Parts: sequence; C-alpha cells; structure tokens
Amino acid sequence: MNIANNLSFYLIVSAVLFVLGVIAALSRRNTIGIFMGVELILNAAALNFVAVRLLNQKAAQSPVQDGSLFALFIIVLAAIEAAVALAIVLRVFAMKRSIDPDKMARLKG
Amino acid sequence: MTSNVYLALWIPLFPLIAYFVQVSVGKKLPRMGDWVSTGAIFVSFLLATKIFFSMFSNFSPDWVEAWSFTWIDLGSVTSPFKIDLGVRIDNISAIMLFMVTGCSTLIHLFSTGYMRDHDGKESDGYRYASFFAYLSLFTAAMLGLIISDNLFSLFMCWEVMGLCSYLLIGFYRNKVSAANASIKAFMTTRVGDTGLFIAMLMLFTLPLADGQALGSFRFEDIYNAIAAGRFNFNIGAFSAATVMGLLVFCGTVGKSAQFPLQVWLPDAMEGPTPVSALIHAATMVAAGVYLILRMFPLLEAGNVLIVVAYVGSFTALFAAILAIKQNDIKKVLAYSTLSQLGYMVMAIGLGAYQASFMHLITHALFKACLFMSSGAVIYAMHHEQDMRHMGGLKKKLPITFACMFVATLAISGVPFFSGFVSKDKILAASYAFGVLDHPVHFFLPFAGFLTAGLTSFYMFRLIFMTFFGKPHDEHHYDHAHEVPPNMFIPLIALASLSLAVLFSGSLTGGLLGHADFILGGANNWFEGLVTNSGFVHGHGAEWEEHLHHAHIPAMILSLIVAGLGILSSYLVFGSKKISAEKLSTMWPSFVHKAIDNLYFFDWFYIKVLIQKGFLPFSAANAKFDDSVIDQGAVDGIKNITMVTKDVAGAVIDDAIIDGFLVDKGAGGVTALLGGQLQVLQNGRIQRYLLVAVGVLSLVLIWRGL
Amino acid sequence: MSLIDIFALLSGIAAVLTASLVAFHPNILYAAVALTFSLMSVAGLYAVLGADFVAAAQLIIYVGGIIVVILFAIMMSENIYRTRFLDNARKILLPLGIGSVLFVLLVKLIAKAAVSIPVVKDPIRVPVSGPIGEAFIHQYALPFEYVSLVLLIGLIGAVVIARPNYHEKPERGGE
Repeated sequence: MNIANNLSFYLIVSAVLFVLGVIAALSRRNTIGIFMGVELILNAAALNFVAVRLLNQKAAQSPVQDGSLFALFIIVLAAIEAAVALAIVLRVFAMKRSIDPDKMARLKG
Repeated sequence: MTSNVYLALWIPLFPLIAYFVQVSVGKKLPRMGDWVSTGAIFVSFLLATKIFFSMFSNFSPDWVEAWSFTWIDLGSVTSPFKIDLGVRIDNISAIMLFMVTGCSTLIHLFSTGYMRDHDGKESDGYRYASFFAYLSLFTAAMLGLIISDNLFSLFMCWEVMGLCSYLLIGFYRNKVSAANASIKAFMTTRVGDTGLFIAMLMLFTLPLADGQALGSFRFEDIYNAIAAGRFNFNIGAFSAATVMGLLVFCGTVGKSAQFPLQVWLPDAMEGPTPVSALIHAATMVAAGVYLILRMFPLLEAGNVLIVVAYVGSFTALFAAILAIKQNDIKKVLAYSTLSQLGYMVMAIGLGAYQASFMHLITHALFKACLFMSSGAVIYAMHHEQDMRHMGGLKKKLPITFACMFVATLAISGVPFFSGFVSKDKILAASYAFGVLDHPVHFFLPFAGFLTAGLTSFYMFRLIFMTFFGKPHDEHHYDHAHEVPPNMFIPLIALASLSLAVLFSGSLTGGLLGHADFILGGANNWFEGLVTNSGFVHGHGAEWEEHLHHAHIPAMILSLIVAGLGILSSYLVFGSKKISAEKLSTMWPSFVHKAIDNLYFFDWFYIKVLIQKGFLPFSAANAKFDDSVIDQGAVDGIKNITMVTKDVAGAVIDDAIIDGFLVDKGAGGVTALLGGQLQVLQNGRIQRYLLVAVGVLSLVLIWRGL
Repeated sequence: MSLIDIFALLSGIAAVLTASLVAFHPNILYAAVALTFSLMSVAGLYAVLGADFVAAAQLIIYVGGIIVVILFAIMMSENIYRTRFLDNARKILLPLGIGSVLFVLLVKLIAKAAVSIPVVKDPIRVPVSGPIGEAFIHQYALPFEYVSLVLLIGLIGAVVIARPNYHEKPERGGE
C-alpha cells in the first residue's frame, strides 16, 4: 500500500483539516477559537501546495520549488496574522471585557 | 542693474530680515536680539555710505542710477495695465539713505540703553524684542520708500511706516493715553493717505490731455508727462495738475503733521523717546516732505505751491507759539518739530526745494540729537518729563548737556551750526518771495522770521529750565547720573554732525566767504547736488536775482531775531530779570485759552467733526441700514420666502415628495428590503462565514459534484 | 508498507484527530494545545513530502511562534479559560452540517481528480532548502520583499492597535 506517494491521501487529510477548520471558525464562541480554525484552514492549503508540487505530474516539472515557497509564504503571512489578531483581541478585550465575536457587532453594516 | 542699485536693494532688506528674525526668535536670543536689529541697520549704513561716496565720484546734479522690473502685467495690447516697481538712486535718495541709516543706527544704539531699566534688565519683559522688531520694520519701510522709483512702492512703504508708527506710539500699551495717541495718529494720517491714494489712482487711470492714461507710477514717467504738457487738462473747474497736486499734498499734510492735520504729532510723544527721535522727528515725518520733493514738478505744474507755502508757514508759526507754553520736555520738541517741518514745507512752496531738503537733513540730525538728549535726561531723571521738576542738571549730565546745547544752537540758527545754513536759505527764499517779489505775500517772510525768533526763545527756555538754575526736585536730582556710553555716543555723533561745515563747505554758511578746503572747492556742495535740472521752478530769472539780493539782508535779519530770542530767553528763564508770570499775564486770556486748547483743533475734530458730524452720520446710516435695508428689503424678501416655503413645504414637499414618493415609494421599498436583508447583516462574522461556506457548497453541488 | 508510509499514515491520522479536538474541545486552552500537535503532525507530512525546509519552518514559526502567541492571547484575556463553549447545541449543528456537506463535496472532487489528473509514481525527493534560497533571491525576490514589507507593516500595526489608549473607558457588558 502506497501512502507516502499517494496524492489523494494528502488531499483527503488536507480536506479534513480544512473542514474541521471551517467548523471551528463557525462554531467557536470566542475569537481565538475562530483564529485557530483559520490557522487550520491555512495549513490545509499549504499542505496541498507541497503535496501537489511533489506528486502532480505537471507541477513536478516546474524548475523551482513552488510548493515549498508558497507554503513558506503562507506560514509567514499566518505569523503576521497571528500578531495582528493578538493585538485586536487584546484591544477588544480591553474595551469590552469579552472576546465573544457576536459582541463585536458594532461595525455591522 | 548697476552695482549701486544692487547695494540699494540690499539696504532695506537687512532691517527687514532683522525684523523677521526678531519676530520669530527675538525673545530667545541673548539680549533679546537687540544686536540683530542694530547690526542689520549698521550693515545698511555701510552700504549707504558706499553709495554716498560713489555719488561724490559722480559729482553731478543729474546723477541717476535706476532699475525697474514689471511687477504686475494684466493688460492687453489695447488696454495696458502694468505696474513697474524699481529702484532709483539719485543725489536726493543717496543723501537720504545716508542720513536715515546713520540716524537709525545711532538711535538703535541709543535704544539698547534707553529701553533697559537702570539695573540693565530689559524693561517690560519680552516687549524689548518687539520694540526692536518694530524699529527694524520701520527702518526697512523708510529705506524702501527712499529707494522707490515709483509712487506705488512708495505708498506701500508709506503705509507700513504708518503701521509702525502706530505700534510704537502705543508701545506702552498699558497707558491709556498712549493707546489713544496711537489710534489718533493712525486715524489722522489716514485722512491724508486717502488723498494721496486718490491722487495715485487719478495719475494712473485718468486719460491725460492726449487721451492716453499714464498707466505708470514711476516718477520718471510722471516727470516726462508733465514736461510734455500732458497734464494740461481740467477736472471740473480745476486743472488736473492742481487737483492731483493738492491730493498728493494731502499725504504730506497727514504724514508731516502740517496744518490742519497737525494734531497727532504732539500726542505721538507718548511713544518711547528713541521712537520720537527716529520716527516723529528725523525720518517718518520727513517722508512727507520727501514726497512733495519728489512730486515737486506736479505741484509746480498745478500752481499749488503757494498753498503749500501758506500751509507750511502757518504750521511753522503756530506750532512755535504753542511750544512756548509747554512744560513737558518732549512736547516742546514735538512742537518744534512741527514748526521745523512747516519750514520745510514752506520752502518747497517757495520753490526753494534745495533749501527744504537741506533743512530736512540738518533738522533730522539735530532734532534726533535733541530728542535723544531729552531721552537721556528723562532716563537719568527716572522717567520724569516735566521740565518744572528739572533744573541744574548741567553738573550731573555734562555730556548730555554739551550735546543738547550744540543741537540747540543748531536749531536756533546760530552761525557755525547746521541749522543756520539751511534755515538761512529758507528765510532768504521767503524774503525774496514775500518782500522783493510779491509783497502781497508778506505773511510768509513775517511768519518765517518770527518763527526763527520764537524757536531760539523756546529752545533756550528748555535749556535754561533743564540744565541751569536750581534743582526743583531734590529727590530726582540726587539720583540723576550720566547715561551709559551706548547712550551718549550717539549724542556726540549727532552733535558733531550739527556743524555747519559739513553742509556748506564753509564754516559759517557763507557769512565770511567760502573756504575751499572741503570737497575740492565744491562750495555749497549740497545745493549743487540737489539742484535737479529736471525741476524747473517758474519764478524766472527775476527770482534768481531776488534770491541773490535777499541773501545778505535775510541773513542779518535772521541773526537778529535769533539773537533776540536767545537774549529774551536768557532774561526770562536764565537770569530771571523779567518775570515769566508777568510776561504771560501781558497777553489777553483768550490767547492763553487758545494755546492751552491747542487752537481748539482737537476740540473741533472730536467734539464737532466726529461727535456732531461723523457719529450722527454713521448713526443715520446704521438706522437706514437697519430699518430700510434689513427690516424692509431683507426681511421683506424673508417674508416672501417664508410664505413660499410654507406653501411649497406643506403641499409639494410634505404631501407629494415626502409623503408619497419618499415614504411610500422609495422608503417603503427600502424598508421592506431592509427588513428582509438585515438578518444577513447582523454583524456576526460567524454568520457571514456560515453563509459563505454554505454558498460555496451550493455552488459545488450546482457544478455537478 | 514501508516505514515512510507508516509515518505518513500516523502523521495524517494525528493531524486529523488533533484538528478535531481543535474544532470540538470545549476548553479553548486544550484546543490550543491540540492545535500545536496538529501543526506538528502537518510538519511531519511536509517531511514525508520531502519539503524539509518547510517542515522546519512549520515547527519553528507555527509551533514556536504562533502557538505561543495564541496561548498568550488566551492567557491575557481572562474568563476564556472558564468558557465552555459547547453549551449551545444549536450553534454547533449548523456548522457541523455545512462542514459535512463540504467534506463530502471535497472528497468527491478529490476522487474525480485522482482518476483524471496524472500523478508521479516515483517522486524524487531532493532537499529543497537550497532551491528555495535561490528562488528567493532570483524569481521570487519581489514577492519575498513584499512579504517582508507586509510583515513589517503588520508588526507596526499590531503594536499600534495593542497600545493602550488611556482616554478610552472600557465598555461594560458590550452591546
């Protein structure tokens, strides 16, 4: 049984991570939970990039390591996101004594 | 641009830069930046000296260096509208620059002492920096006025000077009298300035005799137009040149405080004494004389010189009479300034503009000296200005006394001193005009000689009351002490400039023949320089003849009246042989009343003209504005609008637009949609995300997965 | 089934299990710790895929940095620790349903792709650190600079946002 070289395996794992991330983002009752869900979604996407670059026939012919590069960019952007999210969370908490996303509805359109 | 013009451009710029430095950072500089202003004007003085001596290298009455550029050009070929600004350096402006920068430097130096308290602190806190800022701005404007080659920039500088005068008269702003005096000075000169401004507009825009407007403010163009006879047309019943000349003269009457706008100058003595010396004696008030000197051809073309002469002689005589009764040391000098300015104006009216200009320069020097000496006395007496409290100060203030005495001799017209030279020329001209030429105008020489006698009388009264006799106020006398060097050095410099030799080329002003040791034999260099061949005065050869004949009798007469003045002053105030009280009771009471009330001018202006004339007129205007325009026209339109508003509002707006279209139509639809859609827009990000993911799923299903 | 296959399978299962803890564990602190392990498992998958540098970066940045930040945020905001978030069943049902639908669709998509898109049977796993470094200074120099710029701006922004504003009064109770 070939698992390490099976693209579908990685895609399925990534799909599961994505869906779990979505569920977490939808159902968590505090902002940090949503944020963790988003991290899972980002990870799922990065995993897809790396897996496809190695195992897809067309992508494997690319002269550069695109998959790894995109994964790295995602990681870096996730780091930025984490920093800003933390700042926002602290700010909102300082203002409202709560980080329930439903209470951050002041900017509703 | 010649090098002299280039230098001349820099002369006003240095004080201007100093002004901006003082205004912005003056308070933070060491010594509050008095050295910035003083240094700047000193640099200007050096430049002016360079120009002055290059004038001598071109020893010619027609020496002119000019440069101009177009400042505003808005016209087309058919209707030109162009304003040129420029610099004109000729003998007059070179001498003026030299005098003004020199005087101003010395007065700045004097102020560094005077404006400080006796312990060396800047008096009045940060205002010390402002004082020097104003002085710099004033000097920049005065120098800009001198180098102007046109009426336009001259007028701009003229007004800046007016502003500075206002600021400096009201410098002690906590004093009500100073604040009032500054407003009075500003408003009174404004009357004259209006005349000047109207004259400028007429000069620029009126179509002249050849149908073309002059379209220029430059002196050169004005002179040429007059010479070409383009001003030979009438405005109403009067010749155009007469109207314009009188209006220009209005500016002089305001600025130089001539009759009947003389009321502001004595009050201007509320300012600090260096200001009185610089602005209200030496320079700014002389700017009015400078203006009619520049516009002399226009005045002559308009035949208004005789008016000028009478105004000047009136001012000279009546101001001198007022000066006799003053007890405030600065007021005496203020009236004497008025009187001397009257002399200058009268000389211009007589066509003796050389004499007038010479008197302008000599008067500026000795009057600055007199004012600063009085400032030194006031400083030494701890701001006591009343002469009745002084006396015997000769011992305490020897240097000040010496300088003031020299300047007093100069103003009294004693031989060997500058005032003798210049005043003698004016008196000779008045003698030639009023005695030999037109005996009908006998008032002019009469006023001239009488004023000369009165001048020496009241000036020596000042000297005797201040420096001789017994001290009247022991307390002040004991505390009096000689002023510091930065205050007496300017006095010495100005006093030494009051010597006749500098102006006449002879020690005595021609009394004992000319000495040839100065300027390579250029006797009377001053007159030679200023005699502009472009200025022709229309008295003709006969006048020259008379002027020549008038010289000796006028000189003898002036010496006699000056001597009589000094002698009687000595008898009354020096040796007290004649009682001053007895002398004053000789005169009927209405004379005293008139003098004490300054001939009722202030009373007339304030009580009659303003309170009975302008104020009711303004009130009537205000009433008209309020009742007719506001309540009638404006409120009427308002009422119409209100009615329209009610109809339009109730029917069209409320019922149709608001009620039907907006509320029922657009509003209803929007409210309906909003009610449905607001569920989606509830601000809950998770709900948004849910919708997004749900839609994504639906799309994927729809795409056939 | 070789060793690498077993490692891949274990990593995948660990990633999925820990991710489900992230999604469902009522205690946010446990969820955060579970996220740590999930991310470590994904790093293992990267290693299996031959992306050694990415795996290292995942460990260093995510596990070393981001998780710390998240835990920090949790600790900094009180009462999070005590929050039991699954007290409302209605709240989880709808996300769960939509997630399931999405999952089914994704699996169908993957199955469709698996038969139609050609794959590499025997991939050659080369070390990627060197090629990545070269790419960053050649073809990807501009994106690299952009990302560094974004990072800088994000950090400054975070500082500005988080700096306390003492004029602002805390709002009690929210809306």
